Amino acid sequence: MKTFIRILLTVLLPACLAGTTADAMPDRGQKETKTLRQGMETIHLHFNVNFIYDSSLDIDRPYTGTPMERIVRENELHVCLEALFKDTGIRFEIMKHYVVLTREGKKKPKDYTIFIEEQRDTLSESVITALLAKERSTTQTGFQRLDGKSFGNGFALLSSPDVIKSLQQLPGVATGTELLSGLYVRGGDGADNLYLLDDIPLYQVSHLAGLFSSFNTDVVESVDFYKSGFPARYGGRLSSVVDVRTRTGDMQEHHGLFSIGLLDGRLQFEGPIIKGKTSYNIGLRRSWLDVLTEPASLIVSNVQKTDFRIKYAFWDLNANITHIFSEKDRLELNIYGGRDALKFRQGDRTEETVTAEEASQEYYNEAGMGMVWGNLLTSLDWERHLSANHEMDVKAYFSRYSAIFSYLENIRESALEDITSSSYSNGENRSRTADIGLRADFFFNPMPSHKIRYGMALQYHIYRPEYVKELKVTQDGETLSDETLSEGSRRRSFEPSIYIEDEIRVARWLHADIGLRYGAIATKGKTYHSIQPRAALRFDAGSRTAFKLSYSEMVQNDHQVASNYLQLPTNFWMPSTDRIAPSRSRQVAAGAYLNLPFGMRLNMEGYFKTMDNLLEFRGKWGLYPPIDLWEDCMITGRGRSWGMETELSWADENTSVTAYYTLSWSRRLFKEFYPDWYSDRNDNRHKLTFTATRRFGKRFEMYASWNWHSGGWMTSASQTIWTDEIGDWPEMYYEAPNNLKLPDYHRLDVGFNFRKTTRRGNESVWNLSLYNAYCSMNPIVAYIGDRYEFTKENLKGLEMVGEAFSIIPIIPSFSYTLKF
Amino acid sequence: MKTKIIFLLLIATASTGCRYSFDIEDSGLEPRICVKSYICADSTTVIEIHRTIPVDEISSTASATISPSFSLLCNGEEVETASTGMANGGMRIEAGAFSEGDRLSLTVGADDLETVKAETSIPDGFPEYTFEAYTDADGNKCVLLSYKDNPQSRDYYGAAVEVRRFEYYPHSESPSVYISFTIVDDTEISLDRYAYAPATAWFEEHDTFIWSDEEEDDDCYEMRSRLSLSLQYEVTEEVRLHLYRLSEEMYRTLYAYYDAHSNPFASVGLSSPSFTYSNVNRGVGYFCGYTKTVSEWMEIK
Repeated sequence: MKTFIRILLTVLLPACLAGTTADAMPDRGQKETKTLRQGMETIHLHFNVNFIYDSSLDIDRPYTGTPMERIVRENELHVCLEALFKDTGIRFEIMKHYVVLTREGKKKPKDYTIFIEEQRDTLSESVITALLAKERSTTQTGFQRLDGKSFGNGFALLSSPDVIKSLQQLPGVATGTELLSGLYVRGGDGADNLYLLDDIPLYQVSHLAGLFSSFNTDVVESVDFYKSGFPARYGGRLSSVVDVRTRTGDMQEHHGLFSIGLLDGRLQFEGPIIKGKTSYNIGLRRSWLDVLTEPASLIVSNVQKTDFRIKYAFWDLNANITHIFSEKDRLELNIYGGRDALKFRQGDRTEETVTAEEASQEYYNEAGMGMVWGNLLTSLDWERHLSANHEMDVKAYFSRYSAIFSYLENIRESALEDITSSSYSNGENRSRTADIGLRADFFFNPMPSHKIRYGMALQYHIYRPEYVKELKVTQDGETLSDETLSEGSRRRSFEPSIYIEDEIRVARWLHADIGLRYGAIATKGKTYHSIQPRAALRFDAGSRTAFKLSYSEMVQNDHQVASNYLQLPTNFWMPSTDRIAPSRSRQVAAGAYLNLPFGMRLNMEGYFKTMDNLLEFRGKWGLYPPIDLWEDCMITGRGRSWGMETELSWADENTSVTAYYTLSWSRRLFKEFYPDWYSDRNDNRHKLTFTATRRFGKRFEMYASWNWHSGGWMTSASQTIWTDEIGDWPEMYYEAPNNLKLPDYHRLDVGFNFRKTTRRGNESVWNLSLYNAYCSMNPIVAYIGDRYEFTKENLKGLEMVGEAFSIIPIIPSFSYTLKF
Repeated sequence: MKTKIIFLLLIATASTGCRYSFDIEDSGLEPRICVKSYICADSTTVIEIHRTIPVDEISSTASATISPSFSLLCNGEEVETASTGMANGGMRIEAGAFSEGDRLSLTVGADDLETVKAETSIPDGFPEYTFEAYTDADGNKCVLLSYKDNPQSRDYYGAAVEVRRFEYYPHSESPSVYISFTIVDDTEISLDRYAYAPATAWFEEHDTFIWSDEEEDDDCYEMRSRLSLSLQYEVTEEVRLHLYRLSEEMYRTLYAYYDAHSNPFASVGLSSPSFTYSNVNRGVGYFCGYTKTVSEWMEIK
């Protein structure tokens, strides 16, 4: 295995092969002298496979066979590889999307899956090189790929690494309220992000009110994050795409991991069901906070003589079963289920005896609330190679998000064990959103210079927000009851879409990704159509520099209805209606992407984005927005944002350092609030993030991240006038929305991994993490407060001050993980 | 022991939440001209002009005196006014009554303050309506207002319910009369298609329901109020309606006040910044026209 320590992992060969191009060569059908490297490049472009090979292999030797451009057009992958490496002494193995090259006669690694994973795990330089190349050589702007393995290598807030928390560090992303899973991308709102789990949209992606996201990193293979330059295959949200892919199970061996941390435990298993044919991969997480809260509430109940209960728990499960029927056919079953449950109840019993003669009166007062929310998702995915250059991926799925918010109040008055009066009321708000969908995606590679994707999707949405209220009053033996059931604005919508995109290699130095998406939504009494053009260009200036330009339009047909900015499960989703039209965004982005000497990389990207038909809640306050009248409580407006994002990084074998800087503006125009443009609440002018990882030998690694950004904005009274009446309070006037800048935000996170190999050869990892290591008290909410003395004559010394409330201090956490 | 102390310190730190003050003095706020005026058709017009004190300077409770120059135009012609000073340093301007359809424009300047301009119009009167006061099958006292909306324009309305009670106490020769405005939770504005609860704003020293129509919609509107009246003695109850037709500026101003009092999430930055409307360009306050119609007293049957 050590032979491969110096292995060179190349994800995209074109990035390393400046100056050579397949399509620059005329296809004359004649034998012509080329190199193996050029042939590998042609295969890579055509079949979208990457090569892993020992650097001692000579791949620059001449290849004099039939032109590879012709072979790939008519043959399958292994035929092309056989032709290319015939009589070269190089042996190839196809593994997933990789082709592993070894010298003939040399001992083969026993399992390529493990081999590949090990390479990624141990050769950080190779991994980083690959990622660099991927971002630079992708045509899209605003693209970032996070490798699934990277989540386990550093900081883990509250014991679990988190996908959303990792994305929050990237430039162009505002985080909103601290610690929650908010993702406000380039001026967008939290509901403007398309979260896909293996191509299936998710409506709610957080556990524990946003402390954890719904993605279990143990089963995540990669996360593709788009902020602009959206490929046409994506649609349905305005601001970003978070495309999470889970891993298929190992086809050769069983293995897994077990992890326990401060708040949750994780278990993951994978392995073959039929070796080489069928595999499974199961990941399970469960919080065990309720193990603490249950006894704690019993103690509180006994001490305070009350009936007090509080309980919180969440779990989620990811399961994948993959079966390979043949080289051409593959079937995958994916299941995801997740649920959160928060229950709180308090009851007080008091006895009162007025006189010795009178019977004692007993009062019982009970109040409680509960929140239960979660996603269920199942999909069946059939991948088929229609021909050597034509693939099909058909997916049928069912996805459901449900949230229940319930409450009860029970007041009872009794004397001599006879209930003299009582009132009991309970209510439940339910929000359910279900999607049934079918999508078919095709990948067609007619020639090396064209990669065509096309497809269609049909989605049927069912939105069911509703409430139930029950009231029973007993007075003097008579029981009055009142029950209300509102089916609310139950809506159904049908959303078809088709798209086509072509990744074109126009010339050696010019690549284009041109696409068009058509989408429609048919709701009760109204149908909206949309054409969404997408275009991205990449100009390569040598092998180290690329310039990109993109334009994309996105349409969002359904809307989150929320009475506040907290990502609570009391929010619900509704489709566009005859009164509320779909939202639309248009974005232009351009950037320069440089691979500098000494392992440094510099990316700079600018953007300008407009958004129409944005929604804001405007109605009487309530935790739960009104179901029947939600359209009356929403007003529409516009948004625009622009800015520049910079990323500078350096990496060597053991160390990587990255700095992200964002300079941005984000504006809103809701004429019902204010006649002019005003700052969005997440209009953080500057955002700076430093991250560093350092590996000390094989056993210890360290991670640190420092985040700073300009404060957000809130609305505050800005002008006052004294009234004519002496001693009266001054009248307050609000000049503009979001006119008060909050204090800047900053914090330092650090994490340590201690790795050890057990006697049985398994790897164990202790992770210690500190969130907010120097305990910076950053505001959760803020307001304008006052200080004064009130005398008979007048207010004295009145002073208005900004007051911020912070609840997130330093949070230490730990976890222990055993890989087996 | 050392380990225990460190552990306890960590737990204590982790359990701490805190409130702290931050500086708002660098907000760059400047004093502005404030205009306050609700202008009712056929009533004497009163306009107040003030100099504001920015919130970060309010600790200096010095009076904010203003000596403004102003110009009030009605349909493009200068209006004769009379002005007097106010105890808080402001100025009160009085002008004659304006009529439905009048277009008003106010410009106010002061030496060191930015000149402000505000415009409004006096809307037409409340449309033709019918009004019923009755007791429903459940024994609830109800008021029903019905009118037909003008489909050609976007219109804004307001209404308040005034109750007059004649209470006949035992051994009393004449009834005691109580008049009050009632705030009714159970009120809805309804069209053929849907119904909704109107916003409530404090105006003319009482709570007033406000609502707007739907554009290009010729539906009949209804306002249905269920009154919560308790009976202790023999009572005769009468109601009458105060009906308002509001200019758009006035509706938005009142709605902004409604937002400010009904959305506590917004006051801490956790909900929409909805309470900021002003039609005084480069200043603060309101300069809004409206018309008012008061119905006859009607006994609740």
